[in-house]
Amino acid sequence: MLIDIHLLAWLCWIFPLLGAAMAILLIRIGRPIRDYAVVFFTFLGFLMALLMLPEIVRAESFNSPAFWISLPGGGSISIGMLIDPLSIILANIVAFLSLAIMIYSVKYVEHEPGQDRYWFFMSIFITSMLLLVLADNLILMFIGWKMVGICSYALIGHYYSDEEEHWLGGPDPFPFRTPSRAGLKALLVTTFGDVSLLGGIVFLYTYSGTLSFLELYQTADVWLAALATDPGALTLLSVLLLGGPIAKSAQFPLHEWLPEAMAGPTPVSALIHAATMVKAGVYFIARLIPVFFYATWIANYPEAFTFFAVTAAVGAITAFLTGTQAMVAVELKKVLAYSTMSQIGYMILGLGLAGFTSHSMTLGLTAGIFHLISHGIFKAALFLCAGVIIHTTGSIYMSEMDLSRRSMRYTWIFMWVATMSLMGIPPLSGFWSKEEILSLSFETGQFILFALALVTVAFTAFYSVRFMGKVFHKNDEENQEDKEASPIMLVPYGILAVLSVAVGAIGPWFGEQIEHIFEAYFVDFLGFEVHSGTAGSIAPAAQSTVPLTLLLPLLSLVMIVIGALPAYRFYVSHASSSEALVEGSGILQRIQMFLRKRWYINSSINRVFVDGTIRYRHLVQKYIEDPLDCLFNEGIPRLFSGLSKGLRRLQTGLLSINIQYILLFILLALISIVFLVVP
Amino acid sequence: MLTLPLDLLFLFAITTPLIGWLAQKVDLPRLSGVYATLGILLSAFTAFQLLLQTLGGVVPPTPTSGLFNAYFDLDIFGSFAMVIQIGLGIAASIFSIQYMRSESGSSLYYALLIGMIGGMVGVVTAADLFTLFVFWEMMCLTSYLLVAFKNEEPEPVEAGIKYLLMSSAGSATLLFGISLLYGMTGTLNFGGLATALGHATPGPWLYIALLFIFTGFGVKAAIVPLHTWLPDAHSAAPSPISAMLSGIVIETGLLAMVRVLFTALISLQTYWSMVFAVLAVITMTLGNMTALVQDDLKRMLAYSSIGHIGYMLAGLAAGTVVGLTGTILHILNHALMKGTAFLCAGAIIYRLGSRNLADMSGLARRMPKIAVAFSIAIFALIGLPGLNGFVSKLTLFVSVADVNLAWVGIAIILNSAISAGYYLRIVRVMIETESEPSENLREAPVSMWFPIWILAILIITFGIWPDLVFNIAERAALAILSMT
Repeated sequence: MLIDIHLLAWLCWIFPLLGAAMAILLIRIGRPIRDYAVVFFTFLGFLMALLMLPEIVRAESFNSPAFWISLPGGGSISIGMLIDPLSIILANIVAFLSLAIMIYSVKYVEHEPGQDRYWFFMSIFITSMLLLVLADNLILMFIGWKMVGICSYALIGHYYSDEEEHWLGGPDPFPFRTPSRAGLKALLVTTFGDVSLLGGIVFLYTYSGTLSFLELYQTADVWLAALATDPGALTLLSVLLLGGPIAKSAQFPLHEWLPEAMAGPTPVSALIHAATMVKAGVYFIARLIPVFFYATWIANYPEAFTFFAVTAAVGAITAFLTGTQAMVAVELKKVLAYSTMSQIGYMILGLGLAGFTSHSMTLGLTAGIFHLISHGIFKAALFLCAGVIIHTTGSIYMSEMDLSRRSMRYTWIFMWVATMSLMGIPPLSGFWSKEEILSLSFETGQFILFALALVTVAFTAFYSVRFMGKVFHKNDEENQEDKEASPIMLVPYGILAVLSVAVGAIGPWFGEQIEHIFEAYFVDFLGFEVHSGTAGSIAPAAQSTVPLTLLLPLLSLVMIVIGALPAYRFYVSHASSSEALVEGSGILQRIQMFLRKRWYINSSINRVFVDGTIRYRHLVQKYIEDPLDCLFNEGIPRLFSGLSKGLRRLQTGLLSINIQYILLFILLALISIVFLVVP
Repeated sequence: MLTLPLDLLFLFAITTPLIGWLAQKVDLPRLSGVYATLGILLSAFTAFQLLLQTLGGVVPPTPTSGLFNAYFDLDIFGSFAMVIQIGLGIAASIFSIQYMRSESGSSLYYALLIGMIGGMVGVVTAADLFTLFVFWEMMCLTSYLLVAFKNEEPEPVEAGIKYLLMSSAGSATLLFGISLLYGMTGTLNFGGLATALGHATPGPWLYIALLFIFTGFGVKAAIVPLHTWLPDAHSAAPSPISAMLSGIVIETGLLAMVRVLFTALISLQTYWSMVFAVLAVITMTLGNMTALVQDDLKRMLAYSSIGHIGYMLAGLAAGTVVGLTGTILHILNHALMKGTAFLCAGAIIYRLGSRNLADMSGLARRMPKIAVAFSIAIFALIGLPGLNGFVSKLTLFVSVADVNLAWVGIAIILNSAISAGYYLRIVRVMIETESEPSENLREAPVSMWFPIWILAILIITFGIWPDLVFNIAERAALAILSMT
């Protein structure tokens, strides 16, 4: 090892931080130099992550606490890096996708306003995301967690002057939304979850006395025992801790911010709202799984199962819910956003299933993380393609897009590859990772979850073919003058598309490797062992999976065909018209409206929280705000300025009086000594 | 001869007027300032070496024979305090090069400044009360002259005389208290006093000695009701001198008091800790309250120094390791924060020519470097987390809460809240956009913003990395507690 691994972990996020400094410092030298300097620092960060990769096979953890803030009274908070297989995988994904998207950005933001802001916040985002995944304790992770949220807010609202061309939503009768509003909404909704997460961290600390992940793992038996003695404590902890990931990863019921987050520049959507930040929740749940798995299956606290039940249910519901919405969305980026939520739902489902039987921990972790990797690759590629398409057509609506397949041949090919990976067509990467989640849900006997996940496969196929058809296959006449994207934009998503083929080619082996590493790390190294005696109820089923290994992929292929075929007829071959079909049937019309209105979830939340607040504002103002306002803004200042003016009179400035104070003090003290001490 | 930093300070104090005379001949008005700064830098370097030595467990050589035998004692407490004193002296001295350029007799000014630093260094490293008193007077005499240095104006002269008379009264009572101690024990050495009085049952005379010593040091440390000289002196003095006075001179009173309290007067601890708790609350409340209505920037900062003396007293009232650590840490932090604040005020006054807060509206647009550093210092003074003031205030709060003086802790928090009322007013005035900033304002010269920014960067560094100094402060506190 040439460089110390601890140093690598620090440099990994410090380099992008330096990049952020460059984004401001090098403005005066010139824009091209500045842009490439920022990209270069991102590259250095990626290099550091890459150099850590060989350590993954050792399946050990390196804790590198760098400095401590000692709290008076004995406690302390360490600030350090935790290097273990999970964090190395995540750091590599984040750093690699960041690099690809930053390269793409060089061209993309060339003519955009506010480039300084863009580069600065992108670099800070990369820094904080790497900090989040490499942090060795909950506080530092939470700092990264908040920082990515703030960067996301700033970047969603990049076009904060809200020109009409940057509006989102519509067309009539659907409301338009401005970028600044979208940014604020994202910040508010995710903060709602963050507060819950912070509450969970504090609650956890009162029992565990430590915030370091490794110490939490090592002392799990002690503090879990303490937690389990209080009824409801484990449930409360699960729900509080899950609040953060659910909001951050845009899962039901806190998912409504993500579609509107598409108001930012497209590379932002690709990096933050598809490939990395929204995966922070997945990462955090994966971090917690060993602990809750231990509690559920080894220490036998049935309450801890809540964690897995909630996770799996939320994941499956979100996958299904947002899959349906993606089928009717009219904006290209929104389709991709709904699809992101749906795919993250799969990951969360996979992670949740980790705790459903006593031997599924590593399987669940593998399924979730594998899907995270493959989704990160193909969804980033899709977003980058979408950025080029939106640039070329100048419209966010798919109905106004009509691109030439011939003159944009590479974009067309790459986008189809990524789309097929999204649909789960073998042997692309998306197929293997999705298959692991499906088979896990079947093997654990959760047939409702399995059914939801399976139906979503059909939805995915439908909307994938739909958006590809609408963008590239509107007519067969090649009469357009569209120009292929410049190489600097083309290469990043080309590489991503190739990568999703490459990972797909070695898919089964890749998944197995991840499983081995997690097995070696969590089970052998950290010792979250499974009692052989408490094998779950589906152990026999697991043994008879020989037909299953063939049956399940076949089943999902059937679902893909079920979903893709109508979409192909409507949007690619134009054999029949979807509009005519919908207009002909009242039920279909109603369903379409229901889905377009996002199941009315957004409007209900708005009605309760936004309208509700507005409705009660007069009462709140009259009985709460005004009295408090009067007290704090008038009463207290008046009190203090009165006191202050009174005290000021003591300060006469006259020397003779001032000297008398000394005398008076001595006299009073003497009297007190004489009366209090001498007797 | 004495200790190396002190020798260097004396050397430069004596030679600076000579250099000043030469500079006048060759018409280089800034030469004496540069020369003096170099001297202080050199002395700071040796002091830092001494601190490293004491931290490493080596007792640095002090004169053990001859005329000055056993007059000095270098422990971690003394050498840490020495580094703070000389370090702030560097900033003030660099700042003065430009600030005092047009003053006549500026070489005299530097000689007095170095003398004042030398006096303070002597006070914290003295091994007996008599040496302490001699250096104490050296510090006092030079500071009277420095306050009244602009002797063509009535205000500094009046403030100087007031300071002189009150402080002399304090010195007299202090000397009386020392003589009482000598009468009781026959020795003035701290070690001897500790053995003679440390474990004996206190008699009434010891209480009276405590009263006089406390009053003597208390006048200098500006403990209410002995503080009345401070607002005048600190606002009338040249700004670098205000920075020194507020930043470290009044705290030297506390440091000297710590030496005596934890050796000769340790047997009365239960008594004086109660008195200190009450006085701490009175001092911080009165200081912060009075600062609320000030319109004169330097006067406001001066009153805020009284408030901070109150916080430091709270740590002494606790009297534990944590409490002393808090006090020592807050002395360091306050030196940085108030040093920055007063130097910023000086830079503003240098450009604006007025101390009135109302005239400074919108200056952040004209003097961004100063305004940002000033804001950092102000946020640290309020005690915002992430800056050094928070760490020491938290330590002080924990220390008083530990010894069942939680009401003092609550007073610290309430006072921090009140103090935000006037501190933030400064920030608000600086960033105001309603009126155009005064025409005179433009960015301060580099010799002014450079020392300010060094201090501001230290404020941030010690805020996010408190353990750099926390451990040293803790060991200094242990050194004091191990003297008995």
